Amino acid sequence: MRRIKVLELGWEFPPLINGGLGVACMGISKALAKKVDLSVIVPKARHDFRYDGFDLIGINNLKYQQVETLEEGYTYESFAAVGNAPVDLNPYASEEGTPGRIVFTREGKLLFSKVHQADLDLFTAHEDLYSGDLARKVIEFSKICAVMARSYDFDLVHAHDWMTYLAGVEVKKATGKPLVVHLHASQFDRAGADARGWIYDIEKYGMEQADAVIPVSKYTGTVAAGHYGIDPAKIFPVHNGADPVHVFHTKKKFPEKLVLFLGRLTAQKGPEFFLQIAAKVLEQTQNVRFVMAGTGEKLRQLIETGAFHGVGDRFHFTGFLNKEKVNELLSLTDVYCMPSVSEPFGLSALEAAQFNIPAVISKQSGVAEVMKGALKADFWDVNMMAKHIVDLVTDEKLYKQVAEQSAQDIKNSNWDTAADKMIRVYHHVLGW
Amino acid sequence: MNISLTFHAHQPNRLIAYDFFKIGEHAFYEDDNLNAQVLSQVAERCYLPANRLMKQLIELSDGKFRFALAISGVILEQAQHHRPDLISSFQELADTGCVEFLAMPYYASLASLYAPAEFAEQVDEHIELIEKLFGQRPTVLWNTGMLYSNAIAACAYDMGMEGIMADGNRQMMNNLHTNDLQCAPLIAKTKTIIRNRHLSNDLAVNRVDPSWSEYPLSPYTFADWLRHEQGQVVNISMDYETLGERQADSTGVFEFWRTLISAVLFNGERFVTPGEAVRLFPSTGTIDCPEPITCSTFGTTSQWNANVMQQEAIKKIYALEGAVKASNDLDMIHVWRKLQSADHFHYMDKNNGFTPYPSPYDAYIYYMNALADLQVRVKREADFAKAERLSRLV
Repeated sequence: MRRIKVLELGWEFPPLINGGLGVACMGISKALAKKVDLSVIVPKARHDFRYDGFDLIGINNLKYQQVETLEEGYTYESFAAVGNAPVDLNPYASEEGTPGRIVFTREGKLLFSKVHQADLDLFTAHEDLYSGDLARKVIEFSKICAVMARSYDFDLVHAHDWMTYLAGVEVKKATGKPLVVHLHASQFDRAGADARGWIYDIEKYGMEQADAVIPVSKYTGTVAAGHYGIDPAKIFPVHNGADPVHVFHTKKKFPEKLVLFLGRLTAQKGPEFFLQIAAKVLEQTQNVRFVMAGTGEKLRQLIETGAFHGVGDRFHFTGFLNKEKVNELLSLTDVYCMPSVSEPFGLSALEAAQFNIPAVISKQSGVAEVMKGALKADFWDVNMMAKHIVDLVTDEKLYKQVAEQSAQDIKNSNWDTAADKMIRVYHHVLGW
Repeated sequence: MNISLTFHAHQPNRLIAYDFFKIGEHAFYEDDNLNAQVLSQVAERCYLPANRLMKQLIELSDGKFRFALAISGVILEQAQHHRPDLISSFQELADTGCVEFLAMPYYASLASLYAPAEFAEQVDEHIELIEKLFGQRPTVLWNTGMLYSNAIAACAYDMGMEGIMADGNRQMMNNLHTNDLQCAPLIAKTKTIIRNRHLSNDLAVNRVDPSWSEYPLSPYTFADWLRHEQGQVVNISMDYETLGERQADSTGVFEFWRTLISAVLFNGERFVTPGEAVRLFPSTGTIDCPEPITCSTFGTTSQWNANVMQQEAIKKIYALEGAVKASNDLDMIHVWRKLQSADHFHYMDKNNGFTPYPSPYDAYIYYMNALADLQVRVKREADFAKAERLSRLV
């Protein structure tokens, strides 16, 4: 059987953008490239950077002439099917030739204008990929991917998260090739169960149009089925892997045990719960310090809540830390705590486990399926979370046991295992 | 009319960006370079030229011009390290015999609110330092930010103070007679000297405010206003930094003061220092101040302890008192006391734009990390001492 040819559509990608999604996409791409022929299209890539085994194409490096030639004779159709139009697109005030505007044909059909130089400029600007007119970026990315795909030879398209779902659907329509969408995080995780809007619509539309959906955990698969109404028969969960890290240990400069929270300070990650857990733990033992590493919209509020709880001298905020500092922190940490409200996977818990740190994690997380040995509780059950932490810092036998089990648990958590499972999904979709 | 003039000088010990990774490892919390730099700058613009002016006026008036200085221990310590010439300049003023030095809590702390015994120790430490540097023992207390209440007045009495300064804030105190000495309830020997808030603020704030009805203020006009005041003594006091720092040289502030003081002397008024005032005049009545008041805009302590971050920081620093003192480690006690300076809490005030930190939250985080480091050190010493005691028993 010949190697499958895969066209992957990503949004973040290192080394230019190092978000969690980017790291996962890179891990997947590197592992897949060993077994399939792979091309990856992303909005931004460094033109002088090469990966072994696959092509990484950044739209920011495209010349307008290239797109113009490819675009010949193509009309964009699929976007009209998305329920809510993005706020920044006004279908009524359109004129021929304005970049990114929707045009009505005489039959009242929505049509998108051709790609213009200004659209390409969206991806060369220094602006963050998620800021500015994100809706337009997503749409222009989709248009460009669709026309580019016509010049590629591939068997299926694999799109990562909602920003690339429209592109995936458009490519499927333009080429007739099957679509696999990967669900790293959903609007349900980010904004809660009641989240509805353009992003939700795109996610739902993308998963509906896809031939297979790959959520990063069974937990996320239930979200896709339960909150997006996707047919469970086409949902194939594949757990994320973790790249091996250089593990080291540093002697703490203070006598207390260190409990770490690592992540964006947004509602999704449950930082308020971590504060409450800390206050509960400190009621029972003084031999602990807590660190909240990361930044986010809730930082200031959390600082004040910490003061209000009277844990200000034991609960430390570091703000944003780079990878090097994060590893330094992990090398000091005694217990890792992840009280996420909804965590599609939770790579950081695996990274902590690589450092041999036992974890206390919420049941509402994908990584809980992998880390059988980790102590778990519902994210809202701060008493149980606190009890787990107290147990770990006071019971050495338990501590060792949990740490050892975690080391076992993560043995199979690598991207190669994940890639093998994805290839099985490809086979299923292609009917090979 | 009798006029008492007091200037207050203080510079904070600003902290470095003390992050979590420094806890247990980095024992020096202060931004020494920044503190030295600011001190030097203010010394050049304000303290040194102001001292020269005051000395000249004393000499020209044959000692008829007299005034008082309330200088915190913190700034004197900074000057000893970074600008010894500033100490000499103050010593020259002391040598005229016409400048009285007031007592303060050495660390410009809020100990009077949170740890009365500690408060007394800090005032003692300040008195020792003033005596050592300037050869005189203060008799009048100027508390941090003019913090005053019945309880604090009672503390001052216990310390043997003859007088204590309070701000004349009509919203905060009943039966206020600004220009008369009064006593707190049940206190007889320590007189409360009330600052003339109105006239003091005219000089400290309004003089450079173009929207003020009296702007631009002539020193002769102000000298006239002083002449028409009633009572025992008009007590004018403000930050020394008003001269040359808050009000730049270019506003004519030095010329203004030179002319003002000459005009006041020409009008035949008498300058008395606060210590002289309490000896010259009897108390005229009882002034009741159950709640702490300050010379801040609202007269409350809200700039230091209104939000949860400030309250937490204050609670945690004073909670260390027992353990720190039990260590008998003078360096550590000193470090702990320096963290008590009210400035630290003021920087956590969200309405305070005058701060070296990016935000009040950063001020709080750096402070709490430094405090955590101190906790670790205190514990380490205590464990060490315990181990030593045990080994001696063996």
